[in-house]
Amino acid sequence: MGKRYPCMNPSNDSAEVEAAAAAWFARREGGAWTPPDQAALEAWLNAATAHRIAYLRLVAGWERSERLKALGAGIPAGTIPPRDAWGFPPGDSPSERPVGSTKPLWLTRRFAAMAAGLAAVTVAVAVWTSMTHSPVYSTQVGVLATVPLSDGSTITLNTDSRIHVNFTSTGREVTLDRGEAFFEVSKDPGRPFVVQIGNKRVTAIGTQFTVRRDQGDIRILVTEGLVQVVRETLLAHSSATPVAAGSEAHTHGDAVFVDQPKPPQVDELLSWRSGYLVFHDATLAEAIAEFNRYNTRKIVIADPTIATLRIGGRFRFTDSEAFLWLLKSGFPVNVAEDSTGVRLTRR
Amino acid sequence: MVSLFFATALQYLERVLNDLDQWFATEILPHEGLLVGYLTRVWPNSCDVLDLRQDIYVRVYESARRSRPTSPKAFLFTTARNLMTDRVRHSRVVSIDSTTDFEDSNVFIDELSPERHFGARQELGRLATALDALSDKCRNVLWLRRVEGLSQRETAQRLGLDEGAVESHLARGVRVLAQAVFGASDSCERGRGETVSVHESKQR
Repeated sequence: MGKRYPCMNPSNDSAEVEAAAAAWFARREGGAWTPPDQAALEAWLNAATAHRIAYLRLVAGWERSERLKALGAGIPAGTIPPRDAWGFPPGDSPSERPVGSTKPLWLTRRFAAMAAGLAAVTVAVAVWTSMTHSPVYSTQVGVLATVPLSDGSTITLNTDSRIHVNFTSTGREVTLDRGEAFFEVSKDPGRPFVVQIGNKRVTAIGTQFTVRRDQGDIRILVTEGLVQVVRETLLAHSSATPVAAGSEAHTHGDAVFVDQPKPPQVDELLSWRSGYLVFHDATLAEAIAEFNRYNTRKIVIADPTIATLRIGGRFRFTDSEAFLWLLKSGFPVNVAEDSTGVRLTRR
Repeated sequence: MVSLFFATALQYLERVLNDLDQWFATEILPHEGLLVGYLTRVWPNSCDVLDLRQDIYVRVYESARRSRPTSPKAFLFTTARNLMTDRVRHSRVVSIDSTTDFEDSNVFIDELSPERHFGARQELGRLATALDALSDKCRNVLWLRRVEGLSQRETAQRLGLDEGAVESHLARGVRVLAQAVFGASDSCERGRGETVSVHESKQR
């Protein structure tokens, strides 16, 4: 490959251009920006393509570095953590993790109702251990299960769901193969908690959130802390969308949409953990789809004209009888049951 | 789909950045680590690498102003090779040996596992490492500005610095972060994935 010459003169032309671009960037970010400043920046950018590219590169790098906000999750505002508190492999430093950032384990909030509901319906969760010692947990239709993990985190599996758990010294990865799960993540900044769902991943440090998978798309509700939703693509970028507590995100193909649901909707999205389905102004079709997630005896809407009836209420998901009784008595709906399932028609 | 991130970048600087800038940021800049690794391997004087990178970027940008290449990555590396060829022709400084080096070089481009270079976790790891390598003051400024989102004035008050000092720390920090994002050196791009040959017909 020939001889190498060390670089003795780093202040070459491109370095000067980059320094100038950085000075412009910092001034622009500084706050006291005036129209003459803007005009001067534009003149500088237009003076040479190299200027423009250097500036563009810094702006794009700065935007991408927004990822760093993930490091601040769970650290009180105004506290600047010490160096190397993250435990990423590239740092490769064997130094002790500072006490300040790891002190007490995340105090997970428990819901009494949830615990009670789970106690009633939890059946032993199926567990396999594969050759690679990556445990698999799954639930059958109509069954919930809580899975305590070695790091103090807890996963609650909804009906007909399956996860793989793969914990290493540098990361905690859970794959949601199907269904829905609620995560209460113990705080460990050195080991980000990642939920992989198809080509999307949700990253958390210490937080509570629920993820539901519908084929390739996902729906996430964050009840505490902050998570990042990242879509991995075959192209060379992936976009990270932060989702904060109280927000709901759902994906549609490659797009991520973030919403601020109202409290009744939050209740609706989380009620499954206590064994209930809660509907607020849902269509009959939506309600039936929910019930069918939890029951092997499926309900079928045989007459499309009743699919758009609006219903509300709170039901035990194992008790579709009460739901059907309510339908019969309160709506123009006929319920025909046989060994294969339940058919709904207009009365 | 344009990534959400660049949508925000554009919103933020809509007055100065245009479509072509966006194209450049999404299609060209992410290959910087690979490009710089290639230049470093084939060009004998490491002092020139950043200047070469700048000139290659300028050529790519100006060419894309006329028409956007269909394969930006291949175009970037073809431009790199042509530019080095021109440099050698117009210069007596570089030894003749170096020409064979880069003319025969293939760059192995791993299209199939961008995760390795651009995975969120790896990128966050690189950014955290870059942040930790800064001086105390610069690191504190970056933390408050980038992670906590404080203004320059708030940052200055918090740290007991004047605003000019915060501004110059930010100027230093943004260069380091951009380097961490785009310039990640890549020592293992050979031997995996798709192979893209950079050299065209030799023109002597």
